[in-house]
Amino acid sequence: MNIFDKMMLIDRRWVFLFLVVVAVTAYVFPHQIPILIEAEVRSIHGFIDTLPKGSIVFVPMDYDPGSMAELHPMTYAIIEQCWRRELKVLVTALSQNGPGMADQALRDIADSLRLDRTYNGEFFEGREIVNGVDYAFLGYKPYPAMVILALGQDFRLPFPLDYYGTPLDSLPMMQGVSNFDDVACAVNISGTNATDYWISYGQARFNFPLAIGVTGVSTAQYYPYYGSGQLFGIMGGMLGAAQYEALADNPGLARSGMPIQLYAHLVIIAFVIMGNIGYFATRRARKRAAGGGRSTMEFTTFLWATFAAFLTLATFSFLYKDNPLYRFAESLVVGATTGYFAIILWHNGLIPKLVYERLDDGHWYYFWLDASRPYYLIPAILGIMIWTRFSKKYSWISRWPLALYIGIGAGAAIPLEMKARVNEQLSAMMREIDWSNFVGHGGFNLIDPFSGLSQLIVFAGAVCALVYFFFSKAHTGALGGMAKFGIWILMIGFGASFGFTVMARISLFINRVQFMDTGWSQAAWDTTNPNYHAGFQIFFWLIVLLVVAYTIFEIVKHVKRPKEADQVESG
Amino acid sequence: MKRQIPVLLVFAFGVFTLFQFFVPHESSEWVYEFLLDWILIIGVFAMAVGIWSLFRVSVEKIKTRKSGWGYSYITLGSLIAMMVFGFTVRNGEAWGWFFAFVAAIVLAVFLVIQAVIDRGKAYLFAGLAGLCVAAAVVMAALDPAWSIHFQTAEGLQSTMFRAVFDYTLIPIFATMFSLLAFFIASAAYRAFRARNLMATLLLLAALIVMSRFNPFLQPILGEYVAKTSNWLMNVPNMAAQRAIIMGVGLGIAATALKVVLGIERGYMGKG
Repeated sequence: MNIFDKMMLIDRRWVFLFLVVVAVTAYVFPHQIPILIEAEVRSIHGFIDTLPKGSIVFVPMDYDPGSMAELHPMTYAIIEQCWRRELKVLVTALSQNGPGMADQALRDIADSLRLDRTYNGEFFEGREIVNGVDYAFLGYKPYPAMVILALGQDFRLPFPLDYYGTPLDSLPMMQGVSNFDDVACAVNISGTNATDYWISYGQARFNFPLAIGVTGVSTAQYYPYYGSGQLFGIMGGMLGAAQYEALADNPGLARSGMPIQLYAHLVIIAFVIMGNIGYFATRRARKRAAGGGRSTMEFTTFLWATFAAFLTLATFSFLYKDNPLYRFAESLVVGATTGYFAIILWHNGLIPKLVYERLDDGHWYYFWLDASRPYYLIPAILGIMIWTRFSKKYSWISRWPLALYIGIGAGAAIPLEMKARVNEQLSAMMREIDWSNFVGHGGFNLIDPFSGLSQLIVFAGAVCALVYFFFSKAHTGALGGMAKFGIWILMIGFGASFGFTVMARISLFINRVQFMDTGWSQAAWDTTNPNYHAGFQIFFWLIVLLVVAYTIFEIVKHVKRPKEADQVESG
Repeated sequence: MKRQIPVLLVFAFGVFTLFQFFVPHESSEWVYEFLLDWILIIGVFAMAVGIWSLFRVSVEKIKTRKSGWGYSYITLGSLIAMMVFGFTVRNGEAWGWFFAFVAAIVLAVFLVIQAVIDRGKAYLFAGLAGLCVAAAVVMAALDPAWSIHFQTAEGLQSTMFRAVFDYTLIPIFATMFSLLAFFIASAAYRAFRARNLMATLLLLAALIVMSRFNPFLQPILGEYVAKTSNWLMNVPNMAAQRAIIMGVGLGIAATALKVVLGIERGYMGKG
C-alpha cells in the first residue's frame, strides 16, 4: 500500500479525533471572525426593528434539542430584540419536545431582560417580563398542518388554554387578538418540516408576513420561497444565527461558535482534498497498470449539570463503538422523552380540549357533563377507535377516524400546496424574467444574482431540472440536452445543500463543546461563584476519572484483541 | 363496511374542505371549524398509540429476553418517572417522601410487568405491586411536601419535570445529533471524489458554500468566494430547489386528489 492508497483509506476514527482536536483547540483560544451579513437575514432584523411598540410577533418554535445548537441562538436574539423594542411575542411549539425548548428559552430571555443593556449604541433599561402581558405561550398540539389552519380561524380554537393552563381570554395581551390578522409577522424557528406547513397552510392561506430560521440542512431548499416573496427572510443554521446576533449587537453562542465552525470546515475541506489527491494519484497508477460565560450555579444544579456532562460523554462514546454507557443514555432518553410527550399531550391536548373547561369565575367543570356540547363525545369516540390499531381482528375500525383526518388533510392540501409550491413559484419565475433586469441589475453580469442573465439561468435551470424529472419521453435530442443541463443544475443545488449540512452538523458539536466548558467544567473551578461548593470539584474529578478509567479499559481490551477483529471494526 | 365507509368518509370530508376553500360561507365555516377542532382531539388519541406502542415493545423485549432487554427497564422506568414528575408539584422547599413515592410507582409498574411475564408467580408479583401502589397512595395522602395535579398544568413547571428535560433530554439529544458532525466529516472524506463532471459540480458547490465565511480567503480572493456562494444559492440552487418544490407540489396535489377520489387507498393498510 503506497502513500496515496493510505491517503484514501484512513480509519474514520482518525478523522473523528482530528476534528475533535481542532475544534477543542479553536475553542480554547477564542477569537472573533468577521461575519458577512446577508440580505435575507438583514430583512428579518429590519422588519422587526421598525415595528410599532405593542405589535405582536408570532414565533412558532418547532424544534427539539437535537437542533438547539443552531436554532436556540436565533430564538434568543429575536425574542430579546422584540422585548427590548416593547413588542409582544406569541409562541407555539408544534414539535414533540418543542414545549420544553420554548419554556426554557422564555425563562432565560426573561432573566436577561432584567439587566440594563446597550445594543447598537441604544440604551435599554432592564425590566420584568410578564407572562400574559409581554408574551403568551400557547403550547403544543399534534398535526401541525391542522393546527395552523385552526390558528388561522381563531387562536382559541386549537388553544383555549395557554401552555400553563390559563384561558387565553384572561391574558391581557390576547384581548382583541383573534388570529393571524392581528399579528405583525411570524418568524418560524424550525428544525422539522413544520416550516413547509407554515408556508403552505399558514402564509399561503392567510397571507401574513412570514420569515424562517431553519437548520443548515434545510436552508437551501427554502430559497425559492424567499425569491418568490412568500418569505421575507431566511436565517440558515448557526451562520444565520451569528449574522442575526451581529445585527442585533447581541453576541451569543452562535457568534462564539463561528471560529470553531471555520476551523472544523477547514479540516473537512483538507480531508476532502487529501482524499481526492489519493483518488487521482491511484487512478493514474491503475491506468498505467492496466493501461461562553461563567455559571453561578448552586450545588443541586451542579449535580444535574454533572449528570448532563456524564450523559454527554456517554453519548459521545459511541464514536469509538457501541457500548453499555451509550445504550444506557439511549434507553434513558427514549423513555424520558416519551413520558415527557405523554405529559404534554395530557396537559396541552386532552385536558383543555376534552376533559375540563375553566370558567371565568375560576371554577372547572367537565365538558362531558355539558348538555349543550354533547358533540364533543364524537371526536373522543373516534379517537378511542384509533386504539383498535393493535387488534388484528378490529384494526379496520381505526380507519374511520383516520379517514376523517386524511379527507380533511387531502382536501386542504390540493389548493394550498398548489398555491404555495406551484402557482407562487411559477409566478415568481415569470416575474423574474424581466427585460429591464438586463439593464437595471447589472445586465449580463454573471456574478450578480439579480442580473438579467442570472435570472435567465434560474428560469432555464428550473425548466431543465423539471425536464430531467419528466420520464414519459426518452431523454434524447433537445430534450436530452435540457435534461443534462437540468441534472447539472440539480447537482449544484445538492452541493450547496451539502455545504450547509456540513455547517449544520458542526454547529451541533460546537454546542456540546460550549456546554462541557461553560455549563459544567468552568463552574467546578469557579471559586468566585457565591454558591461555590467543594463538592463541585469532587464531582468533576469523579466524571473525569470515570472517563479515563473507561478509556484505559478499552485500550487494554483493544491491545489484547486479535488483529482481524480490529480490521473488521475499522472497516 | 371495512373499506367502503372509510373511502366514502375521505371523499365527503375531502370534497367539503376543498369546497370550503373556494366558496367560504358562514355556515360552511362553522362546520369547518368543528372539523378542525375534532381533528385535534383525534390527534391526541392517535399520539397515545405511539406511547402505548413503546410500552408494549419494551415489555415484549423483557418477556422474550431479547438482546439488551435489561435496557428496557431503564426505558420504562424513565417513562413512568417522567410522567409522575409531570403530575406532581412540590409545595415548599422540602421534598418529603416524594422520591420514595416515585420509586414505589416505578416499582409497582415493574412488578406488574413481572406478573405478566412470569405467569407462575403472577399472584405474588401482583400482590407486591398492590402493596407498592398502596404505599404510594398513603404517601400521597399524608405527605404535605408535594401534591398531585391531574387537572391543572402546574406539573409542567415542576422542578423535577423541568430539570429532567434540561439536564437529561437536552444533553443526550443534542449530543446524539452532534455525532453527525463526525460522520459527515468522515463521509465527506470518503465519498467526495471528483469522479465525473456531475460529482465535480457537487463537490465545488459544497466547497464554495463551506468557504463563504472564511476570512483567510479574503486577502487572496477578496469577496469573490462570498459573492460566488451568494450567486450559487440564488441562481443554480434557486433553480434546482424551485424545480424540486414544484415537482413535490404537483405530486402532493395529485396524490391528494387520488386519495379523495378513492384511487389511492394505501392509508388503509391490509385487511
